[in-house]
Amino acid sequence: MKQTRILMGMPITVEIIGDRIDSQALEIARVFEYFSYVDKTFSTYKDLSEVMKINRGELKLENASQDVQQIFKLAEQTKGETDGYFDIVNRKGIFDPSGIVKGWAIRNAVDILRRAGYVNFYVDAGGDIQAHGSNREGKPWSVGIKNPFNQQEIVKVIYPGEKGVATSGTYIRGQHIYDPKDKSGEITDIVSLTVIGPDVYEADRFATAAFAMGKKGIEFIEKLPGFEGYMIDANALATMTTGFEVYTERPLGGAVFPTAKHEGKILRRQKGAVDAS
Amino acid sequence: MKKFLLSFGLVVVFAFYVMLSSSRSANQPLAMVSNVPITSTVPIQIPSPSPIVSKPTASPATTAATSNSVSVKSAPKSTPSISPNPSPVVPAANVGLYKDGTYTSPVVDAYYGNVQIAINVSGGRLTDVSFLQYPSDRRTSQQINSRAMPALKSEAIAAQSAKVDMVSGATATSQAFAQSLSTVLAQAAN
Repeated sequence: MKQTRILMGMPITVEIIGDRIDSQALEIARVFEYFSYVDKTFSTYKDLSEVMKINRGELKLENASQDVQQIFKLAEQTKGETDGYFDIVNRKGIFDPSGIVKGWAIRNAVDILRRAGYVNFYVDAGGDIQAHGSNREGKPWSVGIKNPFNQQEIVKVIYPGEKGVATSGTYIRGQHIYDPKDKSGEITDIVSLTVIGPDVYEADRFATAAFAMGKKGIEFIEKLPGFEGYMIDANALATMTTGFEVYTERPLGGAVFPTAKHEGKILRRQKGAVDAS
Repeated sequence: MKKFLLSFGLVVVFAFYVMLSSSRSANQPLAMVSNVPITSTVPIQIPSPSPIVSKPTASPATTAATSNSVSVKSAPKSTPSISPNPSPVVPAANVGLYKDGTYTSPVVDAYYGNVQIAINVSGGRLTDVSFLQYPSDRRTSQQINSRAMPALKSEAIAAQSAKVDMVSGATATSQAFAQSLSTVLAQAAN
């Protein structure tokens, strides 16, 4: 059973393969309910969300719900791991945790389905994806990377197994994305960055941070153990990390997943911006 | 010895760049798009296999040690010439405030090709975005890119006909996308 709903301002699709149609519908409804809880709690558009209350000074972080406190903690951690490129405080000085909440919520939704005993399913929230098991034909789930210049097209097919996939992007060259680290005001010319990571939360947060790094973002992903990336620039040219192509080959059978294959890849923990030299 | 010279050259180029940008930023607001050349130090490390180059750029490897400032200035700069008046960021929440019609953005020179988009506003809402132009000079782009990122493999993107279970891409509702539309949306504003 496959269902799509618009929640958190984006289409969210859940598909479960297999029997027990009735309980599937119930479980999918629970997943959507979860997403609408997340929206109510973290929305920067809904006045009554906890995040808005924090922004108005009506709620102290230590009095906020556990989930909100956790997200702030995770955001702080991510900021440290990306040398400040990931920051939930936006340029107007207000907290906007949406860059980290989405992947986190998808991962939790996947856990809901996993705990309910489902084996073959996926959750796709606005193009950030985590799948489990195999598809309707018993084959590995396939994910297309959208052409940033033509939304009807895909430019790459990947088989992420149970890893998470997230894409950060923008659809036009000349946008004003400022690199917070570059005082010269360089404008990045990256239009799309797809990241495959250990799970969708990891893929999403590092896709967001690496996208803000501009061209250096793909080098950041390259040096991040357990992650692969596919970056498309404004010249319609793609650059991929060294292990990315493992995911473009369809694995044999339904239950075979790509495993870590980072031999030969520099397993150096990356902190900070990549120096061009 | 050659390596030493190149490294020395890099240091000098970087020092020159730092001096240049600090003197500029002293009398310029930081957020502005300045004309400070973005120095790419990478070209020096790669003796390019001299594919078809339309511009007679001097091989950086040979000139780096002797004429640093020249190589800085002639370094391939991918910074586009942005439309002269960058409009303010339009938050996604304002999308409903636009006049109906079709709007076309100015052609933005992306250095190796032009980019232009068109949007359609219907019932005060943005209903469609399409690309009228985007760079397709793959060979030149390929060369520039391979210089910028020596270790990583590059390819020109090409549409795939394969059927897939899911599609990953930035959502049209994302904040970044809303920002990217600011130029055209400004035209449509009431």
